Amino acid sequence: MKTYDWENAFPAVPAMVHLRLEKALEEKGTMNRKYVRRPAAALALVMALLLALMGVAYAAVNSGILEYLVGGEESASQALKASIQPVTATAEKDHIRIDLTGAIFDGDRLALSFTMENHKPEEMAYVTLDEVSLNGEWIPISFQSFAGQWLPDVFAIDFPDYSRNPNSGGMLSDWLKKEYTGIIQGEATFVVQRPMKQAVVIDPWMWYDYDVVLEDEESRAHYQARKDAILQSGLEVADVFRDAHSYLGEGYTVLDAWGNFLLDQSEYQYLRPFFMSENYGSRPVYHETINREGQMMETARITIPFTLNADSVQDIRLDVVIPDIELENCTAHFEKISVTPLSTLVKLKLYPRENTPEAVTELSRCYGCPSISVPEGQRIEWLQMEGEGFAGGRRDEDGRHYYEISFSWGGMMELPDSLCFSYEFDAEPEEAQIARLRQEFIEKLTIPLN
Amino acid sequence: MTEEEFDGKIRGMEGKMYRLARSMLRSDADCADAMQNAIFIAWRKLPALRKPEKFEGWLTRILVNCCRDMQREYLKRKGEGPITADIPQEICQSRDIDLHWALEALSEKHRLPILLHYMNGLTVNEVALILRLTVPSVKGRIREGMKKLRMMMEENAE
Repeated sequence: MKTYDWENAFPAVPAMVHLRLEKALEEKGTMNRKYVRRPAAALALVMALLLALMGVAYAAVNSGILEYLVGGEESASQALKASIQPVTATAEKDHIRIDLTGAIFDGDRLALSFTMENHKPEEMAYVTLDEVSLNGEWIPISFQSFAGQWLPDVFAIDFPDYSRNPNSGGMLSDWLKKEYTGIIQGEATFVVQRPMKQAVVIDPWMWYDYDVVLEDEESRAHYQARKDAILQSGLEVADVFRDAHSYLGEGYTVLDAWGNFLLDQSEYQYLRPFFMSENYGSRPVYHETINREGQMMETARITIPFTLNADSVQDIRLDVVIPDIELENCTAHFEKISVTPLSTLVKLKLYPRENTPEAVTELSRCYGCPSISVPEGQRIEWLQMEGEGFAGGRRDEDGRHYYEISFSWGGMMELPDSLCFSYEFDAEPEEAQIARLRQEFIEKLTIPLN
Repeated sequence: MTEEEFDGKIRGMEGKMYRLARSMLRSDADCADAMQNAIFIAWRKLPALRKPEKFEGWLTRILVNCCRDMQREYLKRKGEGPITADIPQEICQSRDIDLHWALEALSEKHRLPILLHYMNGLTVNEVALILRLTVPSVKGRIREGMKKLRMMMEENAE
C-alpha cells in the first residue's frame, strides 16, 4: 500500500498561528472563570438536604449560597460566610416546591440560592427563574443555573452524587446601578411549564454503541447510567429515522438526550445533521424552526418574597478613593474601587496628554491589558468565581478620550494590604521605553486596602 | 500533569492541531481561534483527565468540537459555506500540493477520519470517540476515503 507524506499535505504552521498558540498558553490561567457545579458541591448539597430531612433545617438554609457561589463552605472566605443574609422562604404550586436557601447582597451585586423539588416526579416539569426584583424593579442577572431546569433532571448524571430531584442552584446579578438603603423588599419569580402531552427524546446519541466503543469501564458505566436514566424516566425514546416534526404534529414535546428543546433553537438544527447523515440515513431530521408554544404549557408561576438589609452592607464593603495620579504620558483616574466579600471591582481611566484617539492607541500600546495582583511579598487568593477584565479606548460624555482598564472579579479569601497591577502574564516588552512606563505604572498605581 | 508538562504537550502537538483545524476551517485566523479555545478548555478541564496518556486523543476531541463550533458560526453567518469551500492562497504553500488537493476534494466525512488516523496517529477507537461514530463506521469511512484519495492521486499522476 502506498504511504503518503501526510504532513507535507499542509503548509507549515504559520507564524501567526504559532504566536496565538503561545499567547493562549500564557493566558490560559487568567481566562474568565464561570460557575460550575462541582461533584463536591453536589455531595455537600445532598448531605445538607439529608440533614434538613432529619430536622436540622438550618443546615440547608444559608449553606446553599456558598455551594452555588464557590462550591462549598470550605472554599469560602470568612468574610463571605459572615455576609450571608438570613433569608428563608418557601413557596409551592403545581407540586413544585421552591426554597430560597441563602442570599448575599454587597451593595453592588445580589446572589441568591434555591432548592427546587417536584413532589410529583412521575410528571416532568420545566422550571425557569423568570425574574428577580428589588423594591419592585427587576434587576439584571449575570449568571443563573435555572435558565431552564427539568425536574426530575433525568438528563444530567454527570457525577454520581448529583441530585436530580430536588435540584439546587442560584443566581448572581450584574453590577447594580442603583444604591439601596434600609430594608429591601425582593421577589424571585419562577415559571413552571409542563409538556402539553408527553416528551419524546430524539437523539442519535441514545443509539450509539459507546458501551462497545468505550475502552475504560468507568466511561462505559457512566454512559450506561445516563442512558438508563433517560430510558427509565418514562420518556419515549424515538426512532431517529422518524421526522421530528411528525411528533410535533401529534402534540409531543421533542427533546434531545440533554433535555434541550430540539426544534426551537437554531444551534441545535445545525448541530444534529453533522452527525446524522451517514449513520442514520441521508435525511437531516431537523431543518425548521418551531415555536415551543405548541409543545409546552405554563402551569404555575411561583413568586418567593424575601427581604434584605441594605444598611448592613456598609460593614462588609470597602470603597477606596484615590486622587488622580500623574504618569509620564497620562493622568490616571480611578473611577471606582470597591472590595466586598462577593466582588472586587476596579475601574481605571487613563487620560492621555493630547485628547485624540491616536493618543489613546498609544496608551493601549504602552499599557496593554495588565492583570490585578498584589505587591511582591504579599499573597492573594481569589475565590473560585467568575472574573472579567476589560482594556480598551473609550470616550466620555465630555468628549474626552481615555483608555480604560477595568476588572470585575470575585471576592478574595483574605484581604491583602494592597492591590496593584501586574504584567506577570505578558512577555517582556521589546521597547525599553514601554518597559520603563509599565514599571512606573505598577509602582505608582498601588491600591491600599488597609 | 504540571503546567510545564501541559505546555510541552501542547507545543509538541502544534503541527497536528494546526493541520486538523486547517482541514476543517477556512482560514488561519479561524484555526488560531479554535486552537486557542481548545487550549483554554483543556486547561480548565485538565483535572478531569483521569488518564494522562490519553491526553492527545482528549485534546483532539476538544479541538474537533471547537472547530465544529466555528463551522456552526459559519452557518449562522448567511452566505458562507460550512467548510473549506474556497481554498485560500496560502494553502498553495503546501509541500505536497497534489496530496493536499486530493484531501481537499474529499468530503469532511472521509477527510477527518483519515487525517486523525494516519496523520495524527490516533487509533480507530479514538477516532470513533472523537467523531462520535461507531468503530465500523470509522473503518468504513477510512477505507472508502483512501480509495477515493488513491484514485484522485493516480489521476493527477497521469
